[in-house]
Amino acid sequence: MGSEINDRTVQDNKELVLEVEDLIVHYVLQEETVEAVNGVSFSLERGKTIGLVGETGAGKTTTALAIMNLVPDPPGVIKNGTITVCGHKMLDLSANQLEKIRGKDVSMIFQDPMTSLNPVLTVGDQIAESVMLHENLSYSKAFKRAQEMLEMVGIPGTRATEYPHQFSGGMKQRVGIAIALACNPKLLLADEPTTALDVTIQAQVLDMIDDLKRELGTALVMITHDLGIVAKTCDLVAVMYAGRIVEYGTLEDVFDRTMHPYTEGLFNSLPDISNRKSQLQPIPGLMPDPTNLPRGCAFAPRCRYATAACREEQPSRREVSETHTVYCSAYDDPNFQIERTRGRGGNG
Amino acid sequence: MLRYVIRRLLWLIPVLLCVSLLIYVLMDLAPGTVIDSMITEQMTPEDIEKLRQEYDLDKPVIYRYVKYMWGFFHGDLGKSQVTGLSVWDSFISRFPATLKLSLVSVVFGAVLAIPIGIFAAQRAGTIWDNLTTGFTLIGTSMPSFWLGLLLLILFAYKIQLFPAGGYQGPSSYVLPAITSGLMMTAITARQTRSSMLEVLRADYLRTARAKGVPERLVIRRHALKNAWIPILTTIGMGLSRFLAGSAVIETVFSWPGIGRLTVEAVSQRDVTLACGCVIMTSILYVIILLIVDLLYAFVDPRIRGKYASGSRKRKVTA
Repeated sequence: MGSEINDRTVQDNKELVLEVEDLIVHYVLQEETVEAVNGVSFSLERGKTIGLVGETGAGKTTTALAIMNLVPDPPGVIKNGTITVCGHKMLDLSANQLEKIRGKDVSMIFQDPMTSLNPVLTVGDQIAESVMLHENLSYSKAFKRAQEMLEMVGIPGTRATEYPHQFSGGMKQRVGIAIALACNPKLLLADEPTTALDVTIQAQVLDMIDDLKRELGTALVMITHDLGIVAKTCDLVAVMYAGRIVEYGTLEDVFDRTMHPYTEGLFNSLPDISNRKSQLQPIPGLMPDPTNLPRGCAFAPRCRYATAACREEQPSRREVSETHTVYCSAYDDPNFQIERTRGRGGNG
Repeated sequence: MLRYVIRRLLWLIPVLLCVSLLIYVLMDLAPGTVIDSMITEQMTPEDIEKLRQEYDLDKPVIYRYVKYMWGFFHGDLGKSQVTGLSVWDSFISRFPATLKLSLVSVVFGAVLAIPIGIFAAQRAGTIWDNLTTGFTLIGTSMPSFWLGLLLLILFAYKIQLFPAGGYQGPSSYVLPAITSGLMMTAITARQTRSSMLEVLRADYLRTARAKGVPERLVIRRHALKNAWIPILTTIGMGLSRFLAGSAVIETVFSWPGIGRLTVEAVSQRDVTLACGCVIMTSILYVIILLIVDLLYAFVDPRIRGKYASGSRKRKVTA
């Protein structure tokens, strides 16, 4: 990743919309410190989608909030890292400058549509608000734009004067998407946008995000724990565990040429629809306590390939190919393969 | 909405029956009657008996009560048993003084309290929050007669900045308004703080910030609007309490309002006047709380939806 970022010509061609480098975010509470994000780096080009995958508590949402510089403070503290959104160093900006970027260059769709809309403002006003702030339009023009945005997400524009409680969950999430896209952001952060929705609505919402992304050329960070959504929407995948990226690569790299034991575990814990009698294979154990992370690889206690060395020191970084990176010390042994790849007859 | 208002107003009837019965019986239980001050040494027992009959004191209390309420439901509040003036006229002549003082106190209290409450909520847990909490604690627990007397000693006696009492000109409002407004400020500030604290954690404020809404608008437009209902309730309760006339403050500052009128009526055992005052203030109380309830619908569309249910209900569509 690193070498590409510094290369001017590459940057001009591909136009990096987001760069996160060595991000560390802790939540400092009175008795303990929650180490939520511990050195995350990735970057995203214009129009591309990266999936941040991992269990609850892996630091996905915190990473997204840090990109907006919206980590709740207190207790959140961004200890280290640089975040560049469309050329703006988000962590160095004043509150005033941030307000100009949030909602315009980067915006976010939140996980729970039931609580993320303001109950006492009409949905039209909530969409129009960011248009008025960022494009200096009059209220009537902004409201008109809000109605267009509603139409775009499949809600009749006449309903702009209604309040969130008059909409169903799926429609509220569409309103959330309309708010996020109102000013054509170059980067959209979607934090489990479909987790709170019915399965039937999930597909609709995902399709819509996908269409809009294509139409507007928006880069997307898709946060999810659902590998199906990743397969459907993402170009790149970053698998997160205990606040670190453990495997990073293109969709094909991670799905077809899986390297990390944790990623393997994620795939194994999916039900196999073609063999319904097969047992689910959950990953044994629980995520480590983020207030007390192990010294070595955080996944070692649950990893069936782990050796004594894994528990002692941080895993080594290995670039498998130009696009594919894995953080696992097991590959220090050149003959090591995880079972998933073994079953397919070798490393691709 | 109209049906709701009518239903609420109909509730006035049992409320009025209860409070009037209560005040009538209490006044009857209290020692002494209205004629005590009229009896002179020259009166014969027959004269006194005649006087008793004139005021129906020879009949049971329930007779007097029913007679009074019969008049009340025919629009007649009766005459003061001491002065002979119409109760309605006495009430109306004293009401403006109480109304003006109440409004000044409430405005003074609310204007001060809401910013203080927001300030404290935004800095919850810091020294500033503790300072404002300390201030509100003093404000709520300080007896108003004592604060009133302290203010009188300082500003009317020692410094002589404001008049010591009475009801002439704007300067006479200052001390009573501060005395009653301070408690109002303290209570409202506490309510604003806790109400805002609840709202400040809400997800939709994060959404607003993610849109790039400046922090001061996040507070004013997004948070405060959601925190209004408990604050409104507190202000409304304060206003209706003031309108009932604060006997203590009006006595300390010799303010010619409803509170003092009621106290005078009770101490002279003027049952008609006392009962009339209590009934009138009960009506005001209920009406103000009704207005506050209707204001809820104004600030919260979800409540508005409930009032409107029936005729123009829009179905939630999936």
